[in-house]
Amino acid sequence: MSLTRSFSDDEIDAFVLRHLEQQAESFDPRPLLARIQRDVTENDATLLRESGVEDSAKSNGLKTTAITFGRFGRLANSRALRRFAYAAASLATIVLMAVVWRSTEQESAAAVVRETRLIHALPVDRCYLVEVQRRGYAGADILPVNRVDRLWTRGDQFFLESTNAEHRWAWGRDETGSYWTTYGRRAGFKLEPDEIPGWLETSCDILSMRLETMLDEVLRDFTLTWDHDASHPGLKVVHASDNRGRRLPWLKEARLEIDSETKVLRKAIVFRRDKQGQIVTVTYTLAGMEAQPDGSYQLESRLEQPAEIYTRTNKPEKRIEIVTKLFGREAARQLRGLNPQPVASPK
Amino acid sequence: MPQNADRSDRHPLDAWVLNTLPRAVRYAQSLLMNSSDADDLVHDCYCRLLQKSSRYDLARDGTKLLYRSITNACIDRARKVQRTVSIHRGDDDESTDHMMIDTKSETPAAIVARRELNDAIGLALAGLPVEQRAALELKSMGYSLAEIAQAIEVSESNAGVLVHRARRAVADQLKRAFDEESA
Repeated sequence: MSLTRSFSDDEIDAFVLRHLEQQAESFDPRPLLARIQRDVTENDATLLRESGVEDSAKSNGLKTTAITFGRFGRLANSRALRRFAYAAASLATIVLMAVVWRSTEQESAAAVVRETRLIHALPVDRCYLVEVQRRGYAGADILPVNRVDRLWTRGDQFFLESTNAEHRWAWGRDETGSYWTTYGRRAGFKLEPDEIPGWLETSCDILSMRLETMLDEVLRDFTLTWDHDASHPGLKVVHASDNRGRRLPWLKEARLEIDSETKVLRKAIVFRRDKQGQIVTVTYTLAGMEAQPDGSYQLESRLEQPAEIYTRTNKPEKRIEIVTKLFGREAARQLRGLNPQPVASPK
Repeated sequence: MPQNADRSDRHPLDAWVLNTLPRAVRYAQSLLMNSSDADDLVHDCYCRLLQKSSRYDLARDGTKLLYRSITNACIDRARKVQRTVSIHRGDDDESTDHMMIDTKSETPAAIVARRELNDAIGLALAGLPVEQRAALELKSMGYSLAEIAQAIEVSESNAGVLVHRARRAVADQLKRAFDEESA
């Protein structure tokens, strides 16, 4: 292998994660799980004995056991008991198989998602078409698709641009981690990494398909199941549902369609709830992969000259005014808190 | 009775243990460089956590607490014993390596390249001090610097330094490995 080049931090992290995941996939957890279960149970029994709880429990249990055995003694030779025992054993086997199957399925879905995450951490330009649809209110179903936008991703960087010729806008994240948004054709603003509130960062990560975060959220808080779509043999479909974590309560459900061979996400459907409680369905469909100029991910290349970019140092009040319009007063207040105005010295 | 409540709540946690166990064991093995010690240590960490399951929300915070506990225990143990670094892969790695690769979707050259990269990463990690190894592995698993700092019991800025040094050391080692190969 000839690979004489330097490695970025993201690549090193991706290599290390991949190494750990590959090691983990070859480990059979069942023997150690059984040992843990046994030892925890024994420890419980010791605790119960030490606290004297077991003695009273045992005496109650003895009575119960005696009664049960008395009943069973009369039934011992009956056909009914044998039938009952057979049915109980069958039921227990089915339940056990269901539990094992469910765990295996959950684990393999997670492995697919982890691999996709690694692939998407690499600096490759991918274009997704983004369709946003709303439902959950009267008449929503008969409305046409609300919008179709274009999203380009390259590792951590992305830009999302409208395809509406009359009302053009774009927003994204450049290689320094700053968020930017155009405001008209000749203006825009930037938020530097230390100015971005957590809620905005996570929300933007998910809505903008920053897969690292999106898949982390999906892996961590959701129940994952997957099926082999018979109509698309080269596709693995992962369903993420039952958001247990409640860390992102607005994110309801997701469906990820992953190419079996390349592990690239071909389509993702995200169901979320907006502030009015409406269900918003966002569908990302892979439209192509084509190298983009570095400038595509920067605000400067999006604006017509002469242009003005509002930043922490250039017209910060104008920037706060735009943030208020786009994200609300709370976001503006947070931004103001991060950038307090210098106190004027008394004359 | 709290003990009984504790016991009845434990069954849903089995799924959590099953899900987290492979990664936790491999993480501990990577820090300790010893399979049986790692198994024992991870076993103890799980038992301690499960016995306190009434005190914590393990489904929510368990993984974070577990990695903190494993990191702590591994660093303690690694400091006590003289660290030996094996440059050979273990037998279990040999026997299961084929399972890691989807041979249908890769060319033989790609499989060899991937194996070489994986081996090189394993070697590079093995050469790091245990704190750096823990910091880099936790970072790659998505933990924040604040969480890494808590796990290793250093300040956040020191955690950043550990991650940075580990990344650089691994990058240098990889570069050297591939330079030698191509020379």
